[in-house]
Amino acid sequence: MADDTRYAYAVARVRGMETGLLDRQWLERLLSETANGALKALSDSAYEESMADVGRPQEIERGLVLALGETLETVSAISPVPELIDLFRLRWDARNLKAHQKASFLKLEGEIGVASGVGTIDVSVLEKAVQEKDYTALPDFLAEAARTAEEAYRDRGELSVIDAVIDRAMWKHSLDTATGHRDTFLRGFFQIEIDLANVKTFARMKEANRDRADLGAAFVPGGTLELSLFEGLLGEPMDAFARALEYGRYGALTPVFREWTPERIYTLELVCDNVLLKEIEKAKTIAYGIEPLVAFIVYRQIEIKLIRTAVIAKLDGADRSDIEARLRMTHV
Amino acid sequence: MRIRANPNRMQLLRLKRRLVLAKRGHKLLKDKQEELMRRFLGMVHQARALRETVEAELAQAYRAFISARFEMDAPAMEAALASSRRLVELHADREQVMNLKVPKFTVEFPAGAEFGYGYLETTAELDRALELYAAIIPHLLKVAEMEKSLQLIAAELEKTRRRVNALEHILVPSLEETIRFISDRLGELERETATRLMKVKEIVREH
Repeated sequence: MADDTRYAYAVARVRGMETGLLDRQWLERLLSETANGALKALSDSAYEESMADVGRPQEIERGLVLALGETLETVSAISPVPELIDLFRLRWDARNLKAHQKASFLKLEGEIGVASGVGTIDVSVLEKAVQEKDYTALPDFLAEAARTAEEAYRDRGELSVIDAVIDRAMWKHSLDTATGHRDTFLRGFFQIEIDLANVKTFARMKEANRDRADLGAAFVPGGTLELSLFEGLLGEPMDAFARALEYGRYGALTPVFREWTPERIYTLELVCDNVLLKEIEKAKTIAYGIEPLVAFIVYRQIEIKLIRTAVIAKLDGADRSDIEARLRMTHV
Repeated sequence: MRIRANPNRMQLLRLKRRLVLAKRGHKLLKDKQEELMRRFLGMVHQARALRETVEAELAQAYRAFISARFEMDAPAMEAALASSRRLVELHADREQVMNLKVPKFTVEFPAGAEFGYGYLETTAELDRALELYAAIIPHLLKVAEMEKSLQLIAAELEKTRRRVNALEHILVPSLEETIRFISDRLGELERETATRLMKVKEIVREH
């Protein structure tokens, strides 16, 4: 998309906020501290507000979820088209809806797996909707997905169908909304996310010796990689999948599948994030548009993942090398 | 230590029977002690090796779990773990080892049970961690079974050892001492009687 001057103010604000992103030097400080020290260090950063109520490193997740919620809310508020940025928040609505539905079917008490303050819908609204089976308060696509998920669960009795139905609906809505706004960047970005999600699902299915039906049920349509590609390679060695990806957009994933071992399974997450980061690097050259806003959100998400890794590793007494092995390209 | 008993033939016979019984009991208990010790030593090595294996497996699963935790936020992890519907069917039974009833566990994983979470918010590391944990369950139960059996055998061994010692160092020597005492006493009485009879005979002869 050509430069969109509507984004002038938003991009200027985001460029300002980008200076608060944690760089390699800051990361060195985080790695050299203890878990408590890391928490203190975060209080001197852009995470000051979100970490204000976090007293112990064990509770850091609360601060990180809050920080992500604040980031998404701020970027949405400054965006001339908040609807598009809210697609990143809708994922959390979908997650919260799934958590509430599963808790309801399993008759679990309390808010298990629910993250408040990140999505666009208040968690109490979602909870009430699920309890009363009245989804009119939710956006149409989510309400429809919730009803379909309920029926699918009743038919098959498998909780994973709830994830499959709601995730598909969420991605379809994201793609449709981006298409509706003729935002090719965002549509392309979502397609990459879908492709990477499908690649990861394929690897997990293969590792667990699942069949084509399972793969088909978990596959998210809408990406650039077709289901038939994955189905055809399900029974083949991992190397065959590496060859299939080698000369395409996801060639960077090839080494992971070539040297596939269960012990190094985490490298898949790492490389997928790097593919995403590589894709949004282009946003640096965009003066006006949604790209810098999306890039900022992605950078913040990766940063949060890194902080979580560092603090958990420190609490667990893991080596510095364990943390460094998980650094994404932005921090290397 | 001598047992308090009247020095008569009846008691002597009774004590001799008790001594035979005590010696037979001692031999049986000694045999039992040896067999228990043999089993105990055999199982100790097995249990130690199994525990070391299980601890290594647990450490590996824990590392995989922490690795999954690095990539997943806490709500996603909570949701994933809360929705697992994998069932483990545990059958607890007892097995006779000598006079002991030791536990026997068998575990089954019903087919078709799902972890119940989706693929988007979870990672392959979580699958791996949960599979590793699931694979450890039978080994963990085996360790529990062996260690409980060892505890029971050790307690029985201790009890048997005390009985063997009591028989060997207290009852049998006491019985032997008492039998010796009664035999001596009866012998003395016999000699007394013989002397008395000889004296009576001599008096009768003089008259």
